[in-house]
Amino acid sequence: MTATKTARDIQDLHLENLTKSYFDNVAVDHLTLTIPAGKFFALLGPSGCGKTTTLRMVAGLEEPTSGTIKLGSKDITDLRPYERQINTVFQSYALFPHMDIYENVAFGLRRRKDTSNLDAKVKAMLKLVELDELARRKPGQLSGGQQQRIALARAIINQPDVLLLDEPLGALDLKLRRQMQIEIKRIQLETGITFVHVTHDQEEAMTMADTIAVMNAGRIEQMGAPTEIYERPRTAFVANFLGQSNLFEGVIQGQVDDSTLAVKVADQIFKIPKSATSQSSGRIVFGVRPEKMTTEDVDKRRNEYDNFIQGVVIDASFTGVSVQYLVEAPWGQELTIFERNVDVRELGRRGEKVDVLWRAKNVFVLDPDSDINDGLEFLGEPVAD
Amino acid sequence: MRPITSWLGKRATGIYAIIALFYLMLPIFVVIMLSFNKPAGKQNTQWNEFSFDAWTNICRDQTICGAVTTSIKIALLTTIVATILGTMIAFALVRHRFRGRTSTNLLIFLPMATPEVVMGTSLLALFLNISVIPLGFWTLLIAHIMFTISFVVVAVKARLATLDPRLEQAAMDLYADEKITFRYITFPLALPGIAAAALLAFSLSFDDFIITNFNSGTTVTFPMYVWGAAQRGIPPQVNVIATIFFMSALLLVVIAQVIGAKRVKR
Repeated sequence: MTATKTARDIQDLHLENLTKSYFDNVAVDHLTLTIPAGKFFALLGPSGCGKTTTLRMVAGLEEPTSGTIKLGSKDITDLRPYERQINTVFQSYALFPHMDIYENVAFGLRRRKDTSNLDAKVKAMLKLVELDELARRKPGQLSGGQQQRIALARAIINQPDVLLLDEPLGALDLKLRRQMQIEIKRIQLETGITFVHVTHDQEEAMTMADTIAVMNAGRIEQMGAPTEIYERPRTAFVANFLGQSNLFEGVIQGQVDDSTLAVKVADQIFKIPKSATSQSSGRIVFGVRPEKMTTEDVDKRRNEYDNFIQGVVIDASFTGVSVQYLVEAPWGQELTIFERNVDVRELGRRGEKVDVLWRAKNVFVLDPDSDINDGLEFLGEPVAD
Repeated sequence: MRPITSWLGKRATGIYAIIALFYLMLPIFVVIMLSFNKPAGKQNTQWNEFSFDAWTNICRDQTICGAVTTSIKIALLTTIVATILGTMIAFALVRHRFRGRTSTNLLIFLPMATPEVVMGTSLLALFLNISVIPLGFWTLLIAHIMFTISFVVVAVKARLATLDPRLEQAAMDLYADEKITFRYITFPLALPGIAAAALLAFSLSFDDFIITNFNSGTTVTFPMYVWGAAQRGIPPQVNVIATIFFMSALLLVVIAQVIGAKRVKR
């Protein structure tokens, strides 16, 4: 088994004002970020947001236009890729086709002249990824999932300080992806290496990472634990890209009581918790996740909830575990509601009038200058890029 | 009627393949067959009598073996120089962006597109005008390297174009510096292309007649010997040498196939 790195071995990775521009095009824009040692960190964003460029700069495969990269206190910005204690799992795996699996995995150790116990280390690593019986095969003879695991083994055997994963599961089918997500998470916990995982799959990021940084147009939009950024998104981009949201633009009317604010959207007043915002007046942008809303017959249970909108069903689709409703609010806005398949009333019909209900505590508030359509263009983006 | 057409339908590809192979192999078969002939007259064109005479006495006249040696020498030197230079050009063209890259790509094609007669006469004019090197072995070598380089560049370029640059990046990521990456990754992966280019260069040089004929001075290469001998009657020794070369090429191909098959198995 591979020796687990102790905390003092590994250091935080710091990116300071990191910028990469190609002519007029800024791919990464003054990025400042600390990736804590020994954690599973995910860089999440749509394709073209600069996440892969960031990763390649950390690997040394791309030269930053400006800014610095530090591992602990050591500046590694200008080091060649082979001078960094950082390894990469490439999106295309990039296994060496002319070498067998064993030699692929042994490659890094051989280059570093670290050949004591080489055979045992390689075999232990192949065992870790459960492919020890394929040691003498060529990469071309392996399935995508197997190649993926070899790419992982080839990087981890070097006990790097940081392991970079560039959309490593992008080419796998859904079932295999789920399996590999668990596998990779297990390996991260076992080795204690800092993992930096680049992905555009929000579900993947949320299941695997300790910390997620949502990236958009070369900048970090928000960073935090998965639950934190899901429950309390700060920008419309995060609210729309990470899961779905119903966002509203309104004006604060005043206090309902000590802990609740009244906000006017179109002609209706909504209650939001005071603790969700530091604002006490002016324009406010807030949102509610679709699974935190419910539908009901008109006027039936309004008193049990803090907020309601009477709307018209545009579409209702049954997915098994839930019913997805699309309801039009009186002011024309389309609301999405995911209703769990428990005690569910009869499936709403198109054109039917319903109440959409939610509790004030489930409201999150965005930055006041947010554009509620930000990030919507990435909905339904194809999985691989 | 029906059974015959269906019988044909099932075997059409096979029959076509046999006819095509026969068409391709017939001339070679004739060459090999006539190497065992004891010609009645001077011309070795009519089957007369089976004998090993030509095989046991290849260097019957000294000029034939001298010509073969000269050809091999030129072809080997050409192969070495053209492969090295051509490979370097191919790497530069595929891996680097520089001013004049597009025009270089175009210029590389010119020697292949130029009729050999034109190139042969131009080279002759050039060599006569500089007159530093007398026509002969060295002028032939220079000419051969010149016209084979393009073929090497094209062959190696084709291989390099299919080579994923991420493999080299992965090697660098795994602690291999530029030199080691070239040695363990780039070169082995480009090798099949380079080897094919070298074989092509060798056979082009060994085989060349037109350019050679203009620039040889008093040097005689094997194709020139055959051409000269054709006037007087080609001796069966020429067939023997042709057969030997054919067999060597065949052997090389078989060895390459066997190695390839073994690799896949492992």
